[in-house]
Amino acid sequence: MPINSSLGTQQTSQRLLRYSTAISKCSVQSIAYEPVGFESTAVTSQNELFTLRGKVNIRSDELDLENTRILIDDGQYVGFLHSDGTFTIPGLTSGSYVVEISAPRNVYEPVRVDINTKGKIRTRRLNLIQPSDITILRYPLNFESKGYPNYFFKREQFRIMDILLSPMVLMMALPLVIMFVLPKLVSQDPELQRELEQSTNFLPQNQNLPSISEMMYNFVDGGKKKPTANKRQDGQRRK
Amino acid sequence: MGSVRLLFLLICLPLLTLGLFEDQAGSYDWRQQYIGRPLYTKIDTNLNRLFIASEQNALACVNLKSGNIVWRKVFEIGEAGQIDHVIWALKEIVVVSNNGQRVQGFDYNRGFATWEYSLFGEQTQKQKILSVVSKKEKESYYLANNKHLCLVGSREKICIELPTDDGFVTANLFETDHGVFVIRFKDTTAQKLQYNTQLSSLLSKTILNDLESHKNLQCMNSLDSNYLSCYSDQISSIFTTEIKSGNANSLPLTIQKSILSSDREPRLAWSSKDFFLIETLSEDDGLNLYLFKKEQNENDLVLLKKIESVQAYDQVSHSQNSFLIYSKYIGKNKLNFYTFDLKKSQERTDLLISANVLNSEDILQLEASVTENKNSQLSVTVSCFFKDYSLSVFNQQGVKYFTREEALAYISTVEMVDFPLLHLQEEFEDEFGSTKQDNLITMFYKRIKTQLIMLKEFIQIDLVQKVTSLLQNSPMTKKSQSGISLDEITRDEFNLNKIIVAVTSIGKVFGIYTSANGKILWSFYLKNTIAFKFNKVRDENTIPFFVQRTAAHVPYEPQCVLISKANDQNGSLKTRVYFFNPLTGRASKDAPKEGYLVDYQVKQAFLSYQMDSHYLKPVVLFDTENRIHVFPQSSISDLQAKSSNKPTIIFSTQRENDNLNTLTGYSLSYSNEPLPEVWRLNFEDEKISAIASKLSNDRIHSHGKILGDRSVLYKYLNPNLVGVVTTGQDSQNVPYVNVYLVDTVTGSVVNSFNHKRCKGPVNIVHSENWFFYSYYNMKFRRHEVTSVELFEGDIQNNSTHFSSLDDIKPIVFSKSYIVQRSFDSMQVTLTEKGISTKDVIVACQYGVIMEIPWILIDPRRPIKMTEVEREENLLPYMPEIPLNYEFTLNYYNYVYNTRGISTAPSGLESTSLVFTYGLDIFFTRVFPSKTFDMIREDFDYFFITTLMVGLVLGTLLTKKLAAASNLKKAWK
Repeated sequence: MPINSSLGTQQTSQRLLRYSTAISKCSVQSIAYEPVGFESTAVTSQNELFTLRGKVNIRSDELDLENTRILIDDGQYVGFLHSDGTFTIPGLTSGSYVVEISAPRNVYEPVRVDINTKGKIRTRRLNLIQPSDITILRYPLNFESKGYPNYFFKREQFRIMDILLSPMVLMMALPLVIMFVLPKLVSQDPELQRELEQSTNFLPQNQNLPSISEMMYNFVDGGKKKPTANKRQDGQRRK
Repeated sequence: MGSVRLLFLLICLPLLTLGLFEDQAGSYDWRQQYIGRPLYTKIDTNLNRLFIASEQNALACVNLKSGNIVWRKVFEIGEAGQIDHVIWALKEIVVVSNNGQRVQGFDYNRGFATWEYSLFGEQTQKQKILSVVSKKEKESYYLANNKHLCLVGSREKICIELPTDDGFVTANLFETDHGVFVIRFKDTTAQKLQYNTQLSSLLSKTILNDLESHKNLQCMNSLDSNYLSCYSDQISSIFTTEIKSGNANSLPLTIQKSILSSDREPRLAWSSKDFFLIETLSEDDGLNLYLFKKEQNENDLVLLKKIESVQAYDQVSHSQNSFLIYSKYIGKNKLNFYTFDLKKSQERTDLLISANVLNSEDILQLEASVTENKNSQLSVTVSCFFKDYSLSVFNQQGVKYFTREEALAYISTVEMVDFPLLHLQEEFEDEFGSTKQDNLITMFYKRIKTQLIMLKEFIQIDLVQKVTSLLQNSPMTKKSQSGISLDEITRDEFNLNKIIVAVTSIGKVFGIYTSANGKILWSFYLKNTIAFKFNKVRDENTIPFFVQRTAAHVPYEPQCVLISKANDQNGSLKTRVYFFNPLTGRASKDAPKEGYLVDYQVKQAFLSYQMDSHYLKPVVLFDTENRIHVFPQSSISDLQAKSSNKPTIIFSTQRENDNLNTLTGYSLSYSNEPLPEVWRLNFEDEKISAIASKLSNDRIHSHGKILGDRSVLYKYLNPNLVGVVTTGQDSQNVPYVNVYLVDTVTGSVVNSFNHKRCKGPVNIVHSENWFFYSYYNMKFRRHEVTSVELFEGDIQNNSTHFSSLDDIKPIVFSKSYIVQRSFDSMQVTLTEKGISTKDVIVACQYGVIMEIPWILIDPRRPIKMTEVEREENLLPYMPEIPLNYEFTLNYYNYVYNTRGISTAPSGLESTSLVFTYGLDIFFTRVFPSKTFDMIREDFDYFFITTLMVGLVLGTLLTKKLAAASNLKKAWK
């Protein structure tokens, strides 16, 4: 029987108490975490009770050490963490359990634990959709934090680049480039200029057609700015 | 294909943005944590902490000065987490829970578990657990029940079985230098067992002859723990026995009969070697204390002090001295705590605490602690748990440190009540003519009048306030935050703030303001309230409570009715109907102050759907003899007049062969006769475990659903439909769950669903034309939910009126989904007009309150997507509903052991108010269809303003430039 000598064995050895091999095995396995004493029990019931051990690694927030609860089968059994993050849940009968860690500031994956009648504990990844798909995990349980649960959405922040890269702005910027940059380029190249002039002469501009920009201009201008318009007309007449 | 679907879902999920933004946390939601009624209390003035182990399966550490919870451990819900025994040891808290099956150590400082073991094994019934802190073994404790004796500590657990002599009840446990002693009784036999300290051998087993032949001995460990003191009521004497030798010290010490006189039920409350405290009940049920002293060489005990009509007492040891601290009410609202020095046998007047209390309720538990300060002066701190479940701590000066309303951990029924409109708003309503006589001129006059009043009010109140606040340079909001009085609160613009009227199973009623972090506006304690038990399994208590009249009917006051059981003066069980105003918490003016006490036993209580002439919805009580009683009685004639020739059917559950399996419909008539039975549904071996009907304020906006091809699928909107969940076991003892959709007018089953190899607990909600319920699938060992939606089809049978008697066969859609967790409680969101989608709010043991979007549980989610369905924005069927963290309404503020969820609509169509209760209470607002009717709070006003200003400036500038360039052109 693998009993660690550091644990107090002397008083129980002479007594005719029935150990559960599984329990002593568990305790030995958990020595990696802490020197846990073994249990001896004289209670002879048909349903032997087993103990589940494990460790929860907290990453995001130290506050969680106090607020973490270990839920077995949605709170049929509840366990609490020791100050080093380990936990022990005694009093489980053989069966299959889902172990879940309820921590407000850490995310953990739930695990299915099967305890057979001899107390052998097998753990595997919880797969609700395909229960036959088995991925064996190590026992004692070791829960690694998957980070901070994303309870909140990120607010959209105002950034210049976002605006500049938005399709609307791009759609407006491109014509501007054509409007302002292209004439400059054209003016540097006289040959091109001539070509362009020829091409534009194909489409004789209809002078009487009011341009949209002019309409907008008049609209924004309002009524009282009419004198300017008159002046312009005067100018044209003078010409 | 699967990956495509997953991709689709991933794209769709961000669309269901239900979650919060981080800066919104705490802006409108709040959580309050409670502990429940203390079973064990310890005051530690050095640490400035109060430790409580409670009836509600919680172990908590509270700041002694502020009353805030420092840490709290919540055990399993129900029996499995019940705390049976607590040892406040020197360095750790030892908690025995789950009916003696588990023992755990907790650290005082931060509440970490230190060690845990399984203890006594399965028990058939509750047994008393005895404990002794070991003196020899460091940090070890002896624990015993009737069958076992254990030595537990952080390092090991040793358990032995006590010799199996049937019927022995363990009464006392001692540890002396000579080993561990167990005293146990069987009828008139007293047995003493002696073990060595390691419990490895039974050293002796003797019969205590002196205690022979006395029935009903009450035995106690004396203070110095080497003596056993036993009190026999028969001969009213006290035996003291030295534990080691097992010999009685001398002849029994007798108490003269005349001293206790006519007092009942004497009980030995405390003893030391020479002092004995006997507690009795006086004729008027007051608590009397008698302190006796043993004189040398005398057989009669000497009465040292008689203390009459004590509220509560506690005995405290402090450095070899013992004090008896007891409390008495001195007049109204004045509570005194006296300290009696047992060693010097005199009253310590310097340790008297005189405190003012508001509630002046009886004290259920008193816990005191005596400490010595630097000047070696003693001081007393007391914690009182009152009968109205409020917990207060008083210091030596009589200053109350805090009051915790622990009754809020016992909420059984909740309603959210609207505040009245401002009187201005009322006049607004009036303006459009409240009566028919109003003609155009009077209406015009009223309009001018109101506007003049508004102007006056604006100048008087708003302007003055603004000016003064400007002068004082203090923001106005600060003032309203600190002290809110009831009169100041009126309905806000969008009716977002309401008053939550919460009725607790102990009879205390609270009015809680939905903003200002759940400030309690009023509370009252209805004495002598006994709750109805409705679920024998979970032992749930309920007190039915309804809002009869809202604040909308000026000049009538709003009114609520509360129905409970109560004892009358002779101690017989009666039914009480109590009326109160939900806005003030005061008893209603139209009814007796103590409510009506009626003789019959109520089986069911409900609110009539019709109003009487005073806009009051009368409450209808259905008694065990199937008779109907209406409160207030005056409105019965109104109801009789209004009831048309169409019968109203009510339904009720019944037990048959001790099995809750029958649903019966009765035709309602307001007479003295028992109601005639109309239909009866018997589910044979199945047990009814839940019934879901629509919430009374459930609004339906649309009669149909518009499909992708622009056709309409009409909903089956049967207002008489209920969902009945039954559970049972088949011939191989495999449990199953059945859900029947029953039309309560005809008693016919519209549809039913069978889930084999599934078990409860089943939670079910019903709204509009759909049902949603959860259960546990034993075959696949997972929790599942099913949603069911009923439709009439492409054509509506009758668009104006629904009749249960019409032969409509609804088209049923149903889908089952896998969920990761079980749900403790479930509720559907409510909105003003029912235009927003209805989401389901669930509470999990995990500690989260989640909002499951309807789009995920829609039973019409197709397995194979067609073009039409894609057009309708349905998600493809996926077996699992991912319970994302974004759905969590309470983010990291976890709440535990939630028993119920209450929802209410607000004035904004997008917003629904959610209140959950259990051990903790939590309130928030939810937006099932997002906030479509208000500007988001992160709306960038600055950005939009700069943009506007910039555009205007730009236009002006370009105009100038254009003019200039035009001028230039003209000069060319």
